[in-house]
Amino acid sequence: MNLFKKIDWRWVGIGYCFFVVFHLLPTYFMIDMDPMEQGFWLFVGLAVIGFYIGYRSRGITIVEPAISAFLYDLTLLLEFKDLWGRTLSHSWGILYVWGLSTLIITVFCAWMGEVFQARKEAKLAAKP
Amino acid sequence: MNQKTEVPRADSPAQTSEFSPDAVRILVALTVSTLILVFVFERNVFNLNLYGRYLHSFIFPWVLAGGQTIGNGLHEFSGETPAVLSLAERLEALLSLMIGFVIGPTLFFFGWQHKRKERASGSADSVLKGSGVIFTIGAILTFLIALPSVPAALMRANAEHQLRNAQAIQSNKDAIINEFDVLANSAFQFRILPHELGGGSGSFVGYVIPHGMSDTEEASYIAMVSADTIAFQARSAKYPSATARCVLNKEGNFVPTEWRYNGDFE
Repeated sequence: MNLFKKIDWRWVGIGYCFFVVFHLLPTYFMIDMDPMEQGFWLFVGLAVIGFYIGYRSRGITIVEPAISAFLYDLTLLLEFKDLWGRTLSHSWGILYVWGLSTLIITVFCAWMGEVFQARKEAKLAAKP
Repeated sequence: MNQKTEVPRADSPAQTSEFSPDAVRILVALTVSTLILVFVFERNVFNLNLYGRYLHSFIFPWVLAGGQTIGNGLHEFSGETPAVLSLAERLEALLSLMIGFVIGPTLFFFGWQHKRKERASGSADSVLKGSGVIFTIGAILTFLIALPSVPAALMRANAEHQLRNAQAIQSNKDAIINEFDVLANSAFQFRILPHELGGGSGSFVGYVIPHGMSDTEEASYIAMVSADTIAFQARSAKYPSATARCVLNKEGNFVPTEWRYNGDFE
């Protein structure tokens, strides 16, 4: 409970917006592109956004992008259209793998962002 | 790693200043617009098929142009005159070019300049500003549309050159095959004519390619003669490395298994 009290919900919201605007929108425009490029972007885009949130936010922000990514995954579920009683075109296995990869990539890259942020702050502090 | 173990410094700005209000407004507006675009209009979730075609296709001008070219080709193929572009299609093309080559790079370079000015003036950039969001959007458009158009244009030019070259080679090959046919008729005529009329009396021996047919605009020809078969070899005049060879039997028919193509004709 204490953990959730410390969560910065504004970063959760902003992170979700980042995922939609800077990941979903480019992915949508890349539908006609090469599948390899699309696949590359799907994961690299998540990594960049996770890293940015970790790097940019004050304090340690790792759970926030993970929650944002989870909400983003829920949004992407709409793509499968089963919420409207239509055919589920992808297997649940792919959904699990995608959801898990999203969380792992986002958390890892947010942590990397925090590490880079700490280094930057240490450099600034070391300056006379 | 624990959450929020870092205590904000006393002199640091309040947490609310991490995002400027205009950045939040722009982000929320873009998020809502994206969700509407992707899930309502495009995916036809609520049967609101207002547009009737995929919106994502018009963001790339080359996709539009490719679609139009294929459409024209299909019209031509089915004997119809290609349709004149409608106003909607022209607006699509204009919008596509504007987004990719004007709006995107403009946002990107203005944002870049703005950031440089901020850095030069020493103002802190720890706050997420609307200009930063706009800059990022501009960068995405620039790197997604404007920059890929350069290699796409080069690849298109290269593909066009290769296609034209392949067509020219095929055209030369077809012309040579046609001339082989003429030579075959001439050789068979020679074979069936008696010696008294300048023929071979049932043999190809003595046949010489008539003057004017051994060197044409398409190729130069030589004939290798035996009693019952005659082989013609052609060397392309336009593509000197390309050769073709065929064999005519005593019935005056080409031997199907003896056709050979080398060099560019392969």
